[in-house]
Amino acid sequence: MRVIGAITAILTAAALTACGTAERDSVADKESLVIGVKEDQPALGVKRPDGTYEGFDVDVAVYIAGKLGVPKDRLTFRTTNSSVREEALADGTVDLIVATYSITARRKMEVTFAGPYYVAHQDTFVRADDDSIRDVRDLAGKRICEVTGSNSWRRVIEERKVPAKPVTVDTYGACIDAP
Amino acid sequence: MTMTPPRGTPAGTAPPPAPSARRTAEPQRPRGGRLRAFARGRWLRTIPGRIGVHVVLCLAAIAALLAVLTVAIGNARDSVQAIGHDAGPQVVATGTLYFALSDMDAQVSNVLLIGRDHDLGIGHDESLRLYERRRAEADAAAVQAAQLAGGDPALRRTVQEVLDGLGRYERLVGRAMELDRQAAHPPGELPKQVVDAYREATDLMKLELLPKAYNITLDTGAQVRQDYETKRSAVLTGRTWVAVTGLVALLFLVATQLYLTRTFRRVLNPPLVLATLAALALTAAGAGLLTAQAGHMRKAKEDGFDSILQLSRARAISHSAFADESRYLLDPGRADTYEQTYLDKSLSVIQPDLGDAPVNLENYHAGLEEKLGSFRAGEGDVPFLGFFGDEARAVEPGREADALQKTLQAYLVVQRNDARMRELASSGDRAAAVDLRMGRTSDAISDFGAYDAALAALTAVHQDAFDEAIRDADGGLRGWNAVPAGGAAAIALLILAGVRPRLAEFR
Repeated sequence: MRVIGAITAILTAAALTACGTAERDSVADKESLVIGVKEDQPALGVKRPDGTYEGFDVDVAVYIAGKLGVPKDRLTFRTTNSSVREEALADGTVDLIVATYSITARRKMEVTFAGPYYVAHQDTFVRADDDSIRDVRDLAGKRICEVTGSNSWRRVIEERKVPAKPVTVDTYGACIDAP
Repeated sequence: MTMTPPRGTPAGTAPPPAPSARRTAEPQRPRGGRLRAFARGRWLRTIPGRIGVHVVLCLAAIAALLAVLTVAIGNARDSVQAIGHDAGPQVVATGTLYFALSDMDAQVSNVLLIGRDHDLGIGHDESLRLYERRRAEADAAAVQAAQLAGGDPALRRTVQEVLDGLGRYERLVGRAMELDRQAAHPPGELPKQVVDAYREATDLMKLELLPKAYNITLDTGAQVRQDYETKRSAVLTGRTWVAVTGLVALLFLVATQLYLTRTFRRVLNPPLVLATLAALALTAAGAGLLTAQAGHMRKAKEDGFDSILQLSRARAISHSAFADESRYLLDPGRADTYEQTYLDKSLSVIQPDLGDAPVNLENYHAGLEEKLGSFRAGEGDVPFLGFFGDEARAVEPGREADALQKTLQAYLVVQRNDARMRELASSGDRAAAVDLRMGRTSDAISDFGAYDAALAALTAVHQDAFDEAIRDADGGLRGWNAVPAGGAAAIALLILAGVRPRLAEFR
């Protein structure tokens, strides 16, 4: 029952790309880094109107890069949604992802997790004026947001067997805007 | 002995025309003149001078070989010490902290579940005895962790917080036990105030203590891994340097040999031949030793240390999942939560590929039967993930594969008991479910014991591999206290013994 902030970096470029099986250089030796973060998670990773990013995960990313010898001015942040995380690491679009990311056995086969650096527990986010939902069981019959590539909805519908109705969208931001 | 007609000018026959030599006031050549003569390098044109240069280069190369050997062997020694004797075993000991804490809470749940029926399961008193033992183990592991923390303030703080939290946890448990005693309830029918008191304790354990305890093992384990990687690459770099300096020494020795052969028209200089062979042997043995050490270190780290840590975590999680069965029965209000945490923990131990089927416990049980039923450890593809999936992918045939196979089969039996217990509970027969879980109408407890024993046997295989690798590494290094210095000294003496008779021809 937890979303875990995790730093991930791909170990090999094999498997997901058709052509390359060569091992890629470790990101630990890079001069500059492209770091994947979320853009729509307030307090964790948010994209500001001017295009820069802020939040706890961004701070952690800057700290880690500093420890790897890469100063802030050689960092590029890139929005990496839950649905494309493994691909983005595999094809080198990003060097690392610093974001909420459940550490699962299946994902461990594709990416290397470092951490967790922060263990958050999963909660349900409901409208402020909706007082019919007191705990997870009250989600029965309600529409819940299923973000592509995220595991969270499974925990409610499959593992808990609460018969909520999933509504599929691409990002957590879209969950809030969903009608 | 035939005197070889020296080519070039023998030393002394043509004194360098140093300006100071003309001064009659000074009977002996002053020091400055000698230096100047030396600097001018005319002595280089003399045979003894050239022999001297050869000898000095050979000796310097041998000294360099000795130096790099000493450094590389020192690195190997440090590495074996760290992973085999100091930090490695201590990190494994911190893994015990997680297990001990988690099992304390498991024992509490057993005591509360059986209530006044003190003989159910392993029994009220036995559970309390185990609780005390785990408490002592947790303390001992915390001491190890504190030692490992050394000068790391963050790690020290985490250890301190775990100990403080443990004090709070024990107070909460004390209250829950007290209420439980007063209520004297039948098995599985806990009054609300007991459940509420236990919730406070178990939440503290689950949300604060266990994650912190796990962080301690992660942090200290990361230190060991970093130390291992640095030292191992230092040993391998050292091996390259040994090979390079050894090769240079050999080249100089051969060049000296050739020079003497050409100059004195002799076929071979026996002491120099011996010195060359000895240098070759020292280089080869040194490089071989370092290769072997790097291999022992890798085996100790990957087949020993890593596997032991992983299996110790698998064991802790399995015990914790088993306790979630008790919690599922004792707290019906949270039964669905405990079923989910049970599933989560089971998935981290073994995750069979469920395809598109929903991830729930029924499908998990079915998936296990399907994937484990036909699986033979060490043969073919591994159709599951999780701790045992990693273990199965790296398993070596023989004793290790046998131990894994037994563990997997025992795990399957434990999960079958779980399925039966949940069937009873969800059909409304909670008393029967408690009886089954507590072993009154089943072998659930001894089956779990058998699984735990199989897992311990599998861990022991890795412990043996670790011990053997460390023993080999220690044994390999033991002889090398004196070998490099002794070998280098012998080679130096042989070189000097080889050129001395030739130099004597010029006296």
